[in-house]
Amino acid sequence: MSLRTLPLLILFFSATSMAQSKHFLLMGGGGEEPGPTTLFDKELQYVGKFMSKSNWRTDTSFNGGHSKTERILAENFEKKGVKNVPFTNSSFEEKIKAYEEKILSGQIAPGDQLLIQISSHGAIQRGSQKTHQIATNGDTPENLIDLKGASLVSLDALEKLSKLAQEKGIKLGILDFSCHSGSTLALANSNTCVISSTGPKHFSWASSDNVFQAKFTKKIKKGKSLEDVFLSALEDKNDTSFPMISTPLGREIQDQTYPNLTPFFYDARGEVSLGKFQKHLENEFMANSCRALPKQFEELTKFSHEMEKVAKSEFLFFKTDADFGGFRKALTRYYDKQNSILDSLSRMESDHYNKPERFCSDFHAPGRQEKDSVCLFWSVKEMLSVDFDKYISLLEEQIKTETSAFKMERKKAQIRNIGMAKARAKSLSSQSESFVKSVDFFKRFPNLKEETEEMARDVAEEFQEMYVSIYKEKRKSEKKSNPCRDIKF
Amino acid sequence: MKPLLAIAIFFISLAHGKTNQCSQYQLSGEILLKDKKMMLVLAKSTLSELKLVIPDALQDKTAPYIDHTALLTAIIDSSSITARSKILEISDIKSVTPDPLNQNESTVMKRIREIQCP
Repeated sequence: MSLRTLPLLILFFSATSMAQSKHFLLMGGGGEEPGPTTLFDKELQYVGKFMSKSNWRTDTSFNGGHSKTERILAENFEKKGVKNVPFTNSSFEEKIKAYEEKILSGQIAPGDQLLIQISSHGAIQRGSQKTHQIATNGDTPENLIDLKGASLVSLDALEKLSKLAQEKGIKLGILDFSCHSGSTLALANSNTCVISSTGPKHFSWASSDNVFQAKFTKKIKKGKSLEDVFLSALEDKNDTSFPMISTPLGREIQDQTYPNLTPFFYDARGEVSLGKFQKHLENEFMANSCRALPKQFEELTKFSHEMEKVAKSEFLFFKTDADFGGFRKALTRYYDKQNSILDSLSRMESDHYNKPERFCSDFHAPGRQEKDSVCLFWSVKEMLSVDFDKYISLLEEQIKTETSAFKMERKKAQIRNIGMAKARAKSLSSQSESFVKSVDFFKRFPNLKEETEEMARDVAEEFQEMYVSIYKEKRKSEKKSNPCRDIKF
Repeated sequence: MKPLLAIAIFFISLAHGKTNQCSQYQLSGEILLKDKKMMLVLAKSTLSELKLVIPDALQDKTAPYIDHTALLTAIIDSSSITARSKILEISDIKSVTPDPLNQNESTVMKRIREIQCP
């Protein structure tokens, strides 16, 4: 290379990097309990470390009041001259509006990159929402499913921004690292890439180096695409979340597997996750002979066999069919476990419903010195099926024509017993609607926490390995690019 | 001579009927209310339909199955079931779903054993 061409090359590279500006917006931290840290510190730290040394223009709106988290923000983002704004409902709207205006005014020009990272608590999709809601700086939520009690904003508000990105040729990336974030994939279009840390029905795990978003942010390297980092983080993570990507290939694999894998990613490691696991078992239990689980298991097994022919494994110069036997083994193990729990529930229900309860009343028949007693023995099942009023009417009619005083008094006592059973049945009716709800799972199944967590983790681990190998193999024959591949760090 | 023969037969049959032998049966039928009585209707709506009255003392056991088909194990006061047979005891009862396409199959009248009357 001559000395004359060197300045030209330097000019060329600096011109290309000048031409494309990169913008990064971090939002979240909502719904966290008071304290020095938040669940999102790891991902903040890792992404901050990269951003602080990069040419990305950063901006943050993150919940304050957590000293350690604030320090991470200050060390990594504020030194670039941008002050953090607390994450409130209004600051969320203002930030989005500001970026819409930046696009409209040309400050963010065609070809530029805008990457938005959401690190907050996320609610399950409800009603007519296109995406889902996330927590802002309000109170701590009562539960982590619908985030009741917390202050929430909907990510539907990003729809206009994604449409603008498409119209103006901006490369928009949305990283939603909240729970139930799979719903956010609805915002993807030909210019918008969406990556979620989990599926629409699952929790996203945090505060560990092994979870997806920690792996993702840690693996960010200059020149790597969102797609590359996604695949690398997915392959490496060790949790039971179901990360998703909006590329056509990602959608293809996710659509074929997520609905069937959903119950195999639930576990009972604690009270919070037990809720979803128990609800799933409850649905299966109520479905009785029309359970979805066997079909889901069968379809996943079939899928893994079919994909072995697609995702070849290479050894030296030879290509052989891939082996997803590990996935099938893990899946079978957890499937058997869930079936054995369902069988136990059936036995428990049978015991519960067939166990007789006793209702007794004394009566004093004329001419007898001692009091007599009559008892009614009805099982829960019988109490829930008997027509109390019909039986009482029958006994009342029989009393009218009864000639024996003893039998008359006995029947009156029987009516009193039926009254007691009727009152008991009222308290039972709500339980019977959902027997599974009344079961104390941790008491009834002593090793449930450890077993289900380990089995769900095994399924997730084997699945992500299969996912990545199918994806990489299919990508080789893919000619068309996508925004997840075009957006580069 | 003929009246004497008739009287002899009458007494012989009476003596035979008092052998104190009962039978345990497995029966399926509908529990229905009729004329202020609770009844077990066997082979309902067929030429062999039989109605057995549920005694007062056993009504509590069969009440949860009123207007439903039940399968029960009962002690009957005779070796074969007739319209005059009496139910003396019910040891087991459960609800069954009748098969409308195969009513003969869903009618159970099975003599389990002969037992001493309670």
